[in-house]
Amino acid sequence: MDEASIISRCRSGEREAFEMLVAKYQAGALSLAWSVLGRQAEAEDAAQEAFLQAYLNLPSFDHVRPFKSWLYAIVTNECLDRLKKERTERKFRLRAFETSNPSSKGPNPELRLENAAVVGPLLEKLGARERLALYLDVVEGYTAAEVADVLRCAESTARVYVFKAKIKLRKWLKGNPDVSNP
Amino acid sequence: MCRIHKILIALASFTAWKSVLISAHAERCPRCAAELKAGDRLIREALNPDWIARGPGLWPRVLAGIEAKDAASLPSPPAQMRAKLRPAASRRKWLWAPASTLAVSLAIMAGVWLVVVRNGRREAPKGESPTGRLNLPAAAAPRVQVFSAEVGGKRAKTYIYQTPKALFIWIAPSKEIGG
Repeated sequence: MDEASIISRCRSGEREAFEMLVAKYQAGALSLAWSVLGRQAEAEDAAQEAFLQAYLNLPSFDHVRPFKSWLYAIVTNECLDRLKKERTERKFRLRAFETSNPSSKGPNPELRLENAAVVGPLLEKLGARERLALYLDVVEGYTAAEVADVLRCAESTARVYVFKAKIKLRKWLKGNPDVSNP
Repeated sequence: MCRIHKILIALASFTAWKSVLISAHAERCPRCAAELKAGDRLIREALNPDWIARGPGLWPRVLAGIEAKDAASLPSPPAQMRAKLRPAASRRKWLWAPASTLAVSLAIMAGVWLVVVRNGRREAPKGESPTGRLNLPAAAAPRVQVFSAEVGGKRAKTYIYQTPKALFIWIAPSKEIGG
């Protein structure tokens, strides 16, 4: 069954059809969410919320656009919103911590990727949008235009995100030659 | 990286422009592209952790979310009963207008009534109703009429002031009163 007919079945209220879409795209949505948020539980929550938003907003879905890109844009927005909220909360917590312990530097605000592979430390140093662009480029094989469509930015900006991330990776690999040649 | 890449890094001063130029070059230059792709395998491995393939599907959680949203959009039975007993919020919202108009009208009417009655009582003498003077019996004070009066052989003007107990008649020559 092609995707367009599955989507039209979903629009008519068939939940079984939407289950097919979830089964098809859940791995990608989870990976994308995990690459931004870095924690399994958070990534699962974000992906679940993104699928729910997709189901509720299916009537406004434009058929011209690929469903995958549309879904990934929802996942991206959800993750960036969560990240922003988390940063604000962390700022408040940090301020409270510094007020109660003036001598300490406070908790490390860096992102920690759970169960990340060898390049985990590098990915943690990239910005959220750079990680997203890198995931879409390397794992999904998206073109710069498709990356820009998901990230809602200019094509040149998307290209720069990917490029900067790759340059950082290259530099990191040069500093860790044992990782690139296992 | 190739020589063009190095020249671009050296020449372009503005960071944003530099990034755009270098990334555009790197996409077209086979040597730079190959070098940038060197780490792709590691990235692919890092961004596809095992737990995603092993973990349970998301569908049960998504379905629970959909059902919760559906349940939230329908009013519960007690809420429906309450809606029958009480006016809807939209109707309640407009009830204040006629209620306040009625209250203001009643206040104005009460104020006017108080002013009229109190003023009436203040004007009336003690022990006598305001309308007492109008009820004087006509027989107790017969009306006096003067048909003609003369002063010095000339017609004069007459003025009568009558109370129930006294009668004053004033006759004046026409010249004296300017007539």
